[in-house]
Order: sequence, then structure tokens, then C-alpha cells
Amino acid sequence: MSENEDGPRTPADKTDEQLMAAFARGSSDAFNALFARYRQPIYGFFCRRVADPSLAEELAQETFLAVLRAQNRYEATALFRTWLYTIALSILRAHRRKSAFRAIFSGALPETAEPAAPVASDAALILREAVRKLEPLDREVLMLREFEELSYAEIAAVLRVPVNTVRSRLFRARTALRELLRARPVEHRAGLLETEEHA
Amino acid sequence: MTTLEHPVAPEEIMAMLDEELSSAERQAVLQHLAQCAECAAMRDQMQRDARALAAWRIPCAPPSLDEKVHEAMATDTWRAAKPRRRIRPLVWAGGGALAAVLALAVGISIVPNLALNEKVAQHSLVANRAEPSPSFLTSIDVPPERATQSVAKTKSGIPERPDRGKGDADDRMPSLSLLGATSYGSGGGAPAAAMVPDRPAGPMIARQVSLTILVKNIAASRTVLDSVLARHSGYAANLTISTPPDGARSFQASLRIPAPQLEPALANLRALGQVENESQSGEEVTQQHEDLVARLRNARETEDRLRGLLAQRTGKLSDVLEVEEQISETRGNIEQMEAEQQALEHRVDYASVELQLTEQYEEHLIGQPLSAGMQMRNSLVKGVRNAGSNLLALALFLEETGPTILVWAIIFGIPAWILVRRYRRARARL
Repeated sequence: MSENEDGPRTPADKTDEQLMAAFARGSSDAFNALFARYRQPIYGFFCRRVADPSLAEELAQETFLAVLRAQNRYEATALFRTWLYTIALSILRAHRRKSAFRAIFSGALPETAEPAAPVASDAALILREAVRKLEPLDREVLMLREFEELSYAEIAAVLRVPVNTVRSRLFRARTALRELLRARPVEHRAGLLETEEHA
Repeated sequence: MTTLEHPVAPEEIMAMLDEELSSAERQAVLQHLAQCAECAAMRDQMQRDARALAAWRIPCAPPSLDEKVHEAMATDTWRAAKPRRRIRPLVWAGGGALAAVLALAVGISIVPNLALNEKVAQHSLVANRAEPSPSFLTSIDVPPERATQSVAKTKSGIPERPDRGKGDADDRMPSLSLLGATSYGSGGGAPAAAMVPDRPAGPMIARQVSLTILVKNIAASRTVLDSVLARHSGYAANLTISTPPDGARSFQASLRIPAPQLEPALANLRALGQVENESQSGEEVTQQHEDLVARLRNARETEDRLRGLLAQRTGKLSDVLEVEEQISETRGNIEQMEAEQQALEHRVDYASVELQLTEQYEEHLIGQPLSAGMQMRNSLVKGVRNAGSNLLALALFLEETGPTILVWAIIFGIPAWILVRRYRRARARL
């Protein structure tokens, strides 16, 4: 899309905040543009945090519905991406609370799938298992940085912790993850850290 | 942590790779990395870690996600499903506390008002009874001779009314009938009206006054009181003096003051000090007195007739004895009624004044005042005693309720602990 002398006009050229402001004024095209931008990142956000893909889809849908409902409450002073991931994180935590409460009486977590036996090419499962062993805050900081690619300041805003805490927790998480992967037998690393072994 | 050998911390290397440093900081890190093999190796390791994490790939979002979101947009179902506004627990707690405070304030304001209304009602009842009517105040016209007559006192100290006399029985010719004799002979002598006391017409009012006065000195006030009583021909029925060791002295007296002298006597009494409370009441006893006089008259007439019969002595001895017995009984009734009449008239003639004097209390130094050190020592002793009593009270409370609390803690605590542990484990797994 091209720009004219008066500035960006097409949704693809607008920032997230501009699109959200347009949506708040009633533009459905603006929401569609935002949805197109973040459908995959939000779906990936939930896929990496819950085992069931259908559950991840459901939570992603809830996230976008929450954005629809909150169109009038969005404040332009906040970054849209930060706001969106804050909503996603809130929905995830609510889901975890409900599941944990149900697990008190049922004794089983329906969405906790038994991890498959580690195979050499199943790097995702190995990483998921290793990441799950991290402390909750370290895990979240690491995933928001590595997968959602949020900056330190954005992570701090989403998790409501100081920036220095983000930096220290991220360093600790990466170090701990490295140790967890090194603790696995070489044949069970699925090629992870392979270059280190050959270094 | 930085050292002289490594002025750049590992976190800074990580931040550089994440592009979170300023340009100056980035240059400093790069400069160090160019010179330090160890830190350069650390940088390389971090980069390998990042590449390892990139192996965690996820599938693409399914088309059903798009369909559901667009369907929700199209049908506006998201508008109907307005999110519930959670009321934070703090708001609930604040609202509950505010409601409790309001309820307490309403209760505090209502209960005293109810008690006050009751007191006001009682007070107005007393005031209505105590307040003399203007007609009463102006209807008493005391003849001068009654105001100045000297009052003789009986042996008991109560002034005696002038002898009313019993009438001249010989002047009357009662009938011979012993039963229900109510009339004299046609030529009856002096009628019983001669025994009616010489009272002025008008209502008979028995007055009561209650007076509370704060005085400076009880002894001096009592001296003045005696002179007031002497001046107004009154007397004290009873006196009580109370002298508490650490309080104000008080003096209570029941005074009897001739009704005509009441107002000037009260004026003199009010001058003793500061009047704190005064109430007056009047009880009309006119009807009661008239009834009593009538009964007394009839009784005397009966007695006269009986004496006339006895004087004749024409009957049998048994009849004579019977007449004498009836005379004795009638005489007893007459004397009783005369006493009642006397007391009633005394109540009218002499107003009753309940006087209470309270002395202004002044603290007295008992010996030497305590020094500051002694006062502190006494306070310390009191404090230690209070602490000891509080600890004892706590120990007693725990002894009394501890076993019960322990039982309920076990009954509810174990299941709660199990549930909390399961919840935490479930959260850790998610």
C-alpha cells in the first residue's frame, strides 16, 4: 500500500494504536487489521502455555472478544501490544485458577497431557518440558521475550514488575534452561545445543 | 557482577544481544568483547541458547479461529455479553465496614432518644403535677388571725389544732333506737354543725415542695435554716447529714412550714445558695376532709345517743353492757377519725418542704503531696500489676477456649490444608 502526502491511509500502514483508536470510533476494518496482525502471535502465546490446541484456540478467541468488549476502555497512552498481551495473560491466569480449583476435587488436570516420550526430533516437546520446570515468573519472562518478542519494558508492563527484575529473571531463566537441557542425555536433546557439543 | 577484569556483567551482554542497551552502552560492551575471550564465549553461548529456543515451533492458527471471531463481530454477541465487573474484596470489606458504622450510628442515636423521651414524659408528668394552678395560688385567703395565731405543739412536737370540742351532748335528745340512728328529736339541741372546724371556704390544699441547693458551707447554712424556721414558725421533722471522706457533704431535712409562710420561707431558703432543683406540688384534700368531718359528726352523734341511752339505764344489765361496749367502739372510731382529721388538717396548714443542701466540694491536701518520683513509682507498680492481670486473663482465656479452638482447627484445618496443597500443585503443573 502506498502512502500519500497526507500520511498513511490504509490499515496496513497504521500503527496498532491508530487502528485501535479507529476501532473505538466504530471502524470494523480497523479491528480486522488488528486481528490479522495478532491472530497468530496470540494463538502461539496460548499454544506454548496450554497443551491442548483446541483450548489454545478457545482462549485466543476469548482474548479477541475481550478486545471487542473493551474497545471503549482502551487508553491511547498504553501500547496496544502491551495491553493485548495483558488481556491474554489475564485470561490464561483465570483459566489456570479454574482448572486448579476443579482439580482440587477431581484430582486430575484435563488439559495436562502426558508428555510424549522424548524422541530425537521432538525438540518442541523437550523445550516445553524444560520450560515448565522453570519458576513461574522466570518462565513467563523468558517466553514473552523469546517467543512474543516483547521488549524489557513491555514485559515489565505486562507482568507488572520492574525492568531490572525482568533483566535479572531473564538471565536466570536462560541459564537455568541451559542447565536443564544439558542435564538430558545427548540422544534426548533433539539436536538442541548440538552446536555446542561440536564446538 | 563486574570486576576489574570483566567490567561488563553477563546481563549486559545479554541485554546487548536483546538490543536493550543504549548506543554508548552497546559500544562499551562490544569493545570489551573484542578484548575478552571469556565474555565472547559467553556471548556465543547465549546466541546458541536463543537459536535452540527457536526450534520450538507451533502450528498456524486454525481457520476456525477467524470464523468464530468474525461471527461474533457480525452478530454483535460480544456486545450482549458484557463483562461482569468484579467488585474487589477490598470494596466489599469497605462497604461492609461502612454499613456497620452506619448501623451503629443509627443505634446510638435512637436508643438515647428513646430513653430521653421516656424521661421527658416522666418529667412532664411530674411537672404537671407539681405546677400549681393559678387559681390555686390566688384562692387561698388566709385570715390575718390564722396567720398570726401561735401554734401549740403536742407532746410529739406536732402542733395541735385548736380544740374543736365534742359538742354538748346534753343539749340533744337522741332517739332510743340503737341501730341506724340518724336523726335527733324534733327539738334537737345544738346541731352537730357546731363541731365543724372554723375553716375558711375554699379548697384545702396540701402543698409539697422539693428544693435542692448548692451551698458553700453546710454548717453556716444550717444556722441560717434554723433562723428561717424560727422566723416563719416552722420546724424540722427530720434531719440527716452525710459527710463522706472524699466527697461533698450533704444535708437533707424534712421541714414543715405554715402554709401562709411558705412563700417567704422559700425565698429565704433559696438565698442559702445556688438552687439546683426546685419542684412544687399541691394535693387537694377538700373532699377527703369533708368526708372525714361528716363521718366524725355521725360518730359523735351516735356516741351521744348511746350515752343518753346509758344515762337512762332502764334496760337489763346485758343491754347496759352492750351499750357500753358500743360506746367504747364508737369512741375508738371517733378518736381515730379525729387523728386523721388532725393529720389531714396539719398537712394543709403546714406545707412539707424536702430540703437538700450540698456543699461545694473542695479537694483537701492529705499530708504532703507525692513527689514526682513516688508518683512514677506508683504508676510503675500499677503498670506491672495491670500487665500481670492481663497476662493472667490471657492465660485463663487460652485455657478455657484453647482446647475447643484446637478441636475445630483439627476438624477444619486438615481438609483445608489438603485442598490448598492440591490447588498449589495443580497451579504449578499448569
